[in-house]
Amino acid sequence: MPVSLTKRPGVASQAAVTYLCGMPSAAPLAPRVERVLAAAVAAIRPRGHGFDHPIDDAVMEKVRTFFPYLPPPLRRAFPLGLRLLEFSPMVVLRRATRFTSLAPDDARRVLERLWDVGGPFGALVLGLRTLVFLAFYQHPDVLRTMEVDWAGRAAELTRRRAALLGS
Amino acid sequence: MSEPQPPEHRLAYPNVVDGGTLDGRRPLSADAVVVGTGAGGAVAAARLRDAGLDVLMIEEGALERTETFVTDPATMIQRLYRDAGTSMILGRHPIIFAEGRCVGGSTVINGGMTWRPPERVLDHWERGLGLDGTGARAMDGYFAEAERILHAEPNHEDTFGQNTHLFLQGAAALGWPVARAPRNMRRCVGLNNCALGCPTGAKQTMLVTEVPRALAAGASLLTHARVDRVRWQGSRAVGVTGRLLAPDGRPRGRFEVRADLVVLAAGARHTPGILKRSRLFARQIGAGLHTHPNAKCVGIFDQRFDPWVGTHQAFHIHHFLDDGILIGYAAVPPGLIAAALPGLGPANAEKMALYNHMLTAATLVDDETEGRVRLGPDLQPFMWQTLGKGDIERLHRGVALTAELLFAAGAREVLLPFSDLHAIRNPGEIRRIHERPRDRGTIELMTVHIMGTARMAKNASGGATDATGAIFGTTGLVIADASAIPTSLGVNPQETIVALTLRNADRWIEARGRRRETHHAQA
Repeated sequence: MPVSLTKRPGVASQAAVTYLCGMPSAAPLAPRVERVLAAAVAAIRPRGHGFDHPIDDAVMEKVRTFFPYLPPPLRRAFPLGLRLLEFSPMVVLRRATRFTSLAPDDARRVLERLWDVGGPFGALVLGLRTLVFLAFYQHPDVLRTMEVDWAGRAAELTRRRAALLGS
Repeated sequence: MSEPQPPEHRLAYPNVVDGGTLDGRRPLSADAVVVGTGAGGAVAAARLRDAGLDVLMIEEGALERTETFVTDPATMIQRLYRDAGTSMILGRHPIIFAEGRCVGGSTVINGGMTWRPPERVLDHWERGLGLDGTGARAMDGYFAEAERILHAEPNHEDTFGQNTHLFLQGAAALGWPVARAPRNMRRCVGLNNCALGCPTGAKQTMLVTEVPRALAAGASLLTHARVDRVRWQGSRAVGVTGRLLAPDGRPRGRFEVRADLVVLAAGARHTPGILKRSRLFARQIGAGLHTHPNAKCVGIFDQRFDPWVGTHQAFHIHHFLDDGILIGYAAVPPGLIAAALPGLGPANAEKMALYNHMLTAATLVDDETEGRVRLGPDLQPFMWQTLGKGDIERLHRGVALTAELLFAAGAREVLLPFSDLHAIRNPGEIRRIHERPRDRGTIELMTVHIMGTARMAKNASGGATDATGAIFGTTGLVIADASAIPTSLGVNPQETIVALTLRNADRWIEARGRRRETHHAQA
């Protein structure tokens, strides 16, 4: 060990600590947490203005695919945050009801309030909307509505470049 | 008959072992082990292999081949980005940070900008910091070599979309000169998928240049392998240890590499993380973090112009570079730009209905405030930077200039990155940006450039590495990534990382030659 650089030799034992990070939980979300997630998706997903596609299940599925890739602290915090979100109407709306029992418009109001407040719950809403929007707006049906054909252009331009390079 | 394929779709990757298929304890050895395969690691590996060393590259991510790239952001973010793009630099204004985790590193997901740093920056390194041979003149040959490796060229005009024309129109109306951006491309066709991996193969990332070249020359590559720490013999680095990862990221085995030379190129966050886990506690390790925070503005235009058609960042505005402000533009896929727009449900839908009318521009700020990389309780490195007053002012000025450009290009509304000032509707309202209270709300910031966390310096009180990128007080341990960059650059760092690595690698090879001669003489 290069002692000349060590300001805290006592911390050497730190290196002996087993390096446990990066272990994704492949376990699916608990059914209760799934229900909260579904309610959040229904509240966050775009509506109106030509965005009324019935694709909530596909959005849920896409959102789920992200969980194993999140860093370990987020992987643990996300389901916990969703569990707590279930009880948030009692604080935010002062109503003895659960998040999953709310109509999407009311659920959206709860999420907007939490987002405004910031902190861990604001971060939860921010993370959820990022995942939901990513899954929703990149759905093939939505892209078709928006007349965005990135994939078609990729295929066409890959062929074009091969031709330009004389491959 | 099969369709013609670009050359990058037919590349060979010999000598690659997928660590995800191995378990148990794997002892390995090489003359040099290179941790990371991005702009620094891949170049270092190829250079060392050219010098005749037996080189082993270690990469935490997977070998994702060009021909498998698609345009779906969710899929590619999961495959190519660390933590699925959720990394964050903590501080008063948190900064979203994205970096690659795949063979080729962040070169696979960057915008392909290939700028030399301003001469004033290089001259400061040489004269102000006393780093001999880092001035503009001394580095010229290395930058030229970097541009050859990166295949720097400007975009062809047939790749310009309406977004490019609007950006140019705005700059011209204001009398701001534009800089035509050199990018690491070989005949870009303007797909604009750079940040999600270029399916056409045009972007000349390390995945399609130095990595396959090093492999073809006899280097080896172990993928799905994460380095935990450096192994020591006294103050001499003698290798690394780490874990083999299953495709789902779970550790499944261990590896140990014995090597005379350890090259860390894991990026400006994870390189200091490895150093700290390796019991190096010098204060300078992890200090000096610069982040080039970016703030975006979205201009909404009356006319539809399909911003996703045509290349991005064919031009930058460097007119304000001496003030620490760079302005560029990009087309962002709907799923990603939506998250940057206000509102949930119908409110967001209302904005997104105008997607084909949106020009996204951004300001990049040359930050003065230094942040730090620390180890968390889980021994993972995290970043902290609280931007100082000067940087906050610079960000506001950059946002105001960007909004001015968008209005000059014809925008009827500009969406802003402030939580308490979402939009302005005419140039007269730009003053609201300047008047905005600095202590209220947050600024939505992101970056893909971090640097300086094991910076080169004349002595150990000024940085973690010497003028060759070697860690002070050790032998056999060198840095080859943005960590070694001595100061903030003010421009995209890719070319600087390559040029500095080329420069430093020559010095490592010379030093190795001298050691061997001494050893033979003693024998």
